[in-house]
Amino acid sequence: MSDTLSYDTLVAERHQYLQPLIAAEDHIIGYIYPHTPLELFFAHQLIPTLLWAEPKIPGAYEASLQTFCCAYSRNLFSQRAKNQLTNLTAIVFPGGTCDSLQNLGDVWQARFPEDTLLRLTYPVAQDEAALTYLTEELQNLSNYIEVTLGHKFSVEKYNEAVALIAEFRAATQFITAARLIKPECLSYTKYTKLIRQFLTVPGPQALQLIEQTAIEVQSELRQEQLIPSVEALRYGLLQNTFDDLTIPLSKQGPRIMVIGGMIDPEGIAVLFENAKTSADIESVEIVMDLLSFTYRTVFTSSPSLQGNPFQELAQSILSAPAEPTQEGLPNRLQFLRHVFDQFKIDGLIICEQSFCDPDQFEVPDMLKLAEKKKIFTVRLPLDPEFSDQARIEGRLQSFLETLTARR
Amino acid sequence: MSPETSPAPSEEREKAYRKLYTSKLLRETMTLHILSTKTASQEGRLVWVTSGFPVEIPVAFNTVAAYPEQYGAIVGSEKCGPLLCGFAEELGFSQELCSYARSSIGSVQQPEQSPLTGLPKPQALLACNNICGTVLPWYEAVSEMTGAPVYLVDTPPLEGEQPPHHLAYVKSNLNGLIEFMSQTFNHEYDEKQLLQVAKLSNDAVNLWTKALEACKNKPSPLNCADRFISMAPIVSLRGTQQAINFYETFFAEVEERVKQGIGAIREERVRLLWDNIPPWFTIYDFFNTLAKQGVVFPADSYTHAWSAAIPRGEIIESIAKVYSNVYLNKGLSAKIDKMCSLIKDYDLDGFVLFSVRSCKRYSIGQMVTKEEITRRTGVPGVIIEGDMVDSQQYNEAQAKTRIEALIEMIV
Ligand code: SF4
Ligand code: SF4
Repeated sequence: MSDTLSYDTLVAERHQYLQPLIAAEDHIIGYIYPHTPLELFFAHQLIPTLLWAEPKIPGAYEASLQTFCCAYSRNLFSQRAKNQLTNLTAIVFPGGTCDSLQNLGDVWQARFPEDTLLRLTYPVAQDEAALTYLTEELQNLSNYIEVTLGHKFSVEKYNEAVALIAEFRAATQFITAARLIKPECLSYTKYTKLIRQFLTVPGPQALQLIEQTAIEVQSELRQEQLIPSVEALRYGLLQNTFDDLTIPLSKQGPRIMVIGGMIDPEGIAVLFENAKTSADIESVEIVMDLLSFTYRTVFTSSPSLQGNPFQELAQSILSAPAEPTQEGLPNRLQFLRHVFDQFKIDGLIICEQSFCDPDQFEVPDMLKLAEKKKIFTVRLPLDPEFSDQARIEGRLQSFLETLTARR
Repeated sequence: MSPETSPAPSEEREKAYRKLYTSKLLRETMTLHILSTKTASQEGRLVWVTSGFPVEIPVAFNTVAAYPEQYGAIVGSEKCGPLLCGFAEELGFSQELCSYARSSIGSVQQPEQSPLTGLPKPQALLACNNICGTVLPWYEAVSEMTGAPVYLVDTPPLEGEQPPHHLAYVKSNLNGLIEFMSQTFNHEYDEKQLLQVAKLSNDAVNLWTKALEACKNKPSPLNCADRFISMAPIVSLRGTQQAINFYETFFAEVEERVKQGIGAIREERVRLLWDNIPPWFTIYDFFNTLAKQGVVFPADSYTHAWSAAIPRGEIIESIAKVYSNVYLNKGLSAKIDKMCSLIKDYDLDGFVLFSVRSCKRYSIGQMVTKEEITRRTGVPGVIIEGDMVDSQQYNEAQAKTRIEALIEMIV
């Protein structure tokens, strides 16, 4: 039996990714919400990094936030209160997504008036009016960055960033589709690590690792003549028209899916691997997740270089597969129905972030649907630090054992 | 209509709290409203709406509005919050979610075990997120259970003045609502009818606002529980003649109390501000116990949320403006400004912030609020913890100790 992996180690690795930027005194901005327009920040010569919860951070929120504020928000606030976010030039706070984050921005501004907070407020709808509104929000944000930080919008940097992120998405979409057909081609752990590395430091180096992996996966699948199916699936997922495709799924062990919102996929991968090792079950694999920082980020269409950049960015954000923070539960349930049927899901891991309203409102309907489809489920209440790692792994282990025995 | 006169102080010396005569009319008004929601549901014209929804539009479409939040207040007052929330929890809804949402979902699941057998079945669910983001997933969950479609009026949170693109977006949402209502209820939009409803709504809001402002007097003619109970028609009957009828009588009684120097409580010693929804399951006990110590609450941040009238101008634009600018939709600093001005205008000695565990939007930020209000006004405040419906999350002893400490600081 191999040693268990620790979530803390992953987070330590992320700090290492950031070190070269800090040493070079690059301007780094932190962001929280998955659908942040990274291209816009690059255009202003800012490097966007996805913030994440720190394990073992001493609670330093108690004098400012109640315990029922979502655990993710509390952790971020504690990091700031302990001066662990000092290398950031600014932080982007989303508006209109969830109540905890909305209020966190206000409390943050009150407690740390010296911080530069960039506000981007999202519409809940996804129609034409929402597009016009979001376009204007992005334009205003860009103007605000110019005025506050003195960083002008550079068309050249914008074009480079659009290309960078489009390549990241294309390669990752390919890997996602390939894993759905043949999950053995790349472990979920490696898959989530690649994405997380890119989102921590989105640049050519992280992209190269993903593209290299995509090439390796491609050559493996080419031998089995699976490339046309992978491409068709990738396209189908992008267009949400995959329900009538004929997909040649590989016949390995039980196929697991993970759902939830702003849950760290890399953390889930660690817990899952440890549970697999403890249960001594090799064949089971997470074939897909619908988490915010993997599927929902990756399957967002990239902006076109033709046209007004702000409108194109708005269009891109609104094309993201719907979050639990957005309108349209019936659509999300319909999507899930297709996923369950098409990808022959055997087991479902439902993640719920502590005190996260959007996650917690979705769960009952997801459970009902899974039950109808006879999919075995486990519900994981999580905090973003995975502080209860051993207990969650125990729960996952019995889930995997029961699932395998049922088959 | 002239009100019956409130009794002189000497007649009621034994009671610390004076009951409003209008409460009888309030009961009658609300009973008729409940009956009308039942009829409307049978006739296929009942909508459920959130408390900050621009209700003038559905009223102008001849639909009747029922308010699940108000139903939550009834559930709380009837002390069956834990039971109904429990039904929702059995369905998988977390105990951490808004207890108005949980009790409403619980009542849809188990109507026969719910007060008034639950709200009548809706034909549409109309949500406006100017009060919080919770209303959308809540209504979507109810939609899955009842089959009624959801329409969301999206009012993204504002910082400062409302920019033109924000106003345009909200207007477009309201036009979408009109289309939705026309299609769902097969009823043509009539602007004249909407203007008429808006006028009725403003008349009621003006009467309500005058009654709230009368509490600047010493003694205050109304206490917190009076306002929370009497706000029912301004929430659910805004835009109808019934609301005006009620508030004319209500305001006349308030005016009469002011004229005669009669306060809501026997002896007013300490004037406090209340923040947030009240603990409905103990509303009378809570405020009446404090009344015995001479503590009155002439103002609160919650019932003042219904004091903005629809301004003149193109009607859809005016509605968009007033409903986007609810101070809950404008962030913490707007709320702090509002509370500071209430403290000043109503000459208050301190404040109580009720930290409602299941209402994140209203409650997160109260620690900063407490410090900032004291810094700006010089008056002390306390935070007490609990919930508006789920009595299991309320610690009465802790609340009492904190408020007593506050009173000691003031007196
Ligand atoms: S979506 Fe959930 S996890 Fe994310 S900030 Fe909001 S409440 Fe927290
Ligand atoms: S979360 Fe708060 S504001 Fe929203 S519906 Fe519940 S009690 Fe009302």
